[in-house]
Amino acid sequence: MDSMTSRSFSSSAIYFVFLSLISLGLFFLDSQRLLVSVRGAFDTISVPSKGVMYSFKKRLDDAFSFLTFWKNGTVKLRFLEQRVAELTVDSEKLAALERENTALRDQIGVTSPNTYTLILAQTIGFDRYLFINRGVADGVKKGMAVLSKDIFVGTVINTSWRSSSVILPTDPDSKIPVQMVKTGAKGILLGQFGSSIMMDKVVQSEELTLGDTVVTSGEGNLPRGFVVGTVEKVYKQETELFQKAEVKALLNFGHIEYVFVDATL
Amino acid sequence: MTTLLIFLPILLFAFSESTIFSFPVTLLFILSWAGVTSGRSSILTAFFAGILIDLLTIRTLGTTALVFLGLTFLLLLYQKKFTSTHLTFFLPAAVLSVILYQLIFFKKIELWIIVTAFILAIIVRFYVVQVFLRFSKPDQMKLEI
Repeated sequence: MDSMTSRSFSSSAIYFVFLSLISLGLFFLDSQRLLVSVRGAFDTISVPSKGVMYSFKKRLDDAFSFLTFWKNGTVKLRFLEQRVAELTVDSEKLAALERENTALRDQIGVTSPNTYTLILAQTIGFDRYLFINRGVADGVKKGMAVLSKDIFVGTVINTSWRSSSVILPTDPDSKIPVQMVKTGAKGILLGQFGSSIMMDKVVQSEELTLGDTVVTSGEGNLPRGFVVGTVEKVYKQETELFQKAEVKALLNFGHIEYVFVDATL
Repeated sequence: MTTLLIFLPILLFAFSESTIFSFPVTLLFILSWAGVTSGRSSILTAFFAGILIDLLTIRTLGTTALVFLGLTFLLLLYQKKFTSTHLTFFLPAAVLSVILYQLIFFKKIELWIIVTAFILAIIVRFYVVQVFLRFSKPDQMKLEI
């Protein structure tokens, strides 16, 4: 019986070594982008299925959202009503400024710098990364910025034939060069092993103000001016070389349905 | 029938892991399967499930397969050392595997993951054992319940 068990274990060990070598081979081939056709064939079936499953999950989330709404919904609603009123005023001011800006540009004959080539994509999944239904076949490349209503969602980190994964600002591996809108203070936005984001490496001489908007600074292959979030808390200690700020993302990444991939790169 | 009842949940869990939740329930399933079936069968299942997850989560092909193969083989080694497939031996191994998986692919570990791993390991194990006891030939069993 013992020899039988040993024989069976040896055969498992041989299988293990053999399949590990195959996995390593696949790893190498895929790293060299030589298995795109295999991924393409698989994506034909998997991408629509994932889309259906993900929209079902979101519908289920919506159906149960009232459970959290009844608890603090009224307070949130009042806050949002006030915010809408403030933003309406801001929006009117911005519209006037935009008209003035366009008129000035027309006078001096300069075209608007904010022209992007955007690819519309649907979200089809969410684990550590956000998955979208556009890939290499649609012109999506690694490093492209992903947006939702001019708000920065993340950067494409992996591409398949018909799908891609997007690294979010909350991810521990995410590093986004950013700056503040009002003060112009520059820093790096780092994910914090969960849902929060920290703006780090801000020199002590720069000013960080609560509620200020954080946008991409235009460094690190990302376009300039995409909104990432607002400052919630500032950590400033004179003994430290840099100051930090906790940034609140403007989007709930799990609830996004459609995004745009900035293919201007 | 056993193949269908094992591979269908693996397919479903693999899809769910990349869309609905980010918990490695496929890994728990594979480890439970390794606890009841032959080493060769469990190693093969681990490989194919890993490739499936790699394709679905757009990881470099072979990454998850290697992790699944490694963890399944470690479990087989562990079972050989203690010559037991009992739940009390399986549970710590399953929870530790989930923790390792989370650290490798998600770079974080939270308390709810450990608790969920513990509960799901019991449920998944129960399902796999039931399927195996009902639909497999007696000479294929290596269970100690």
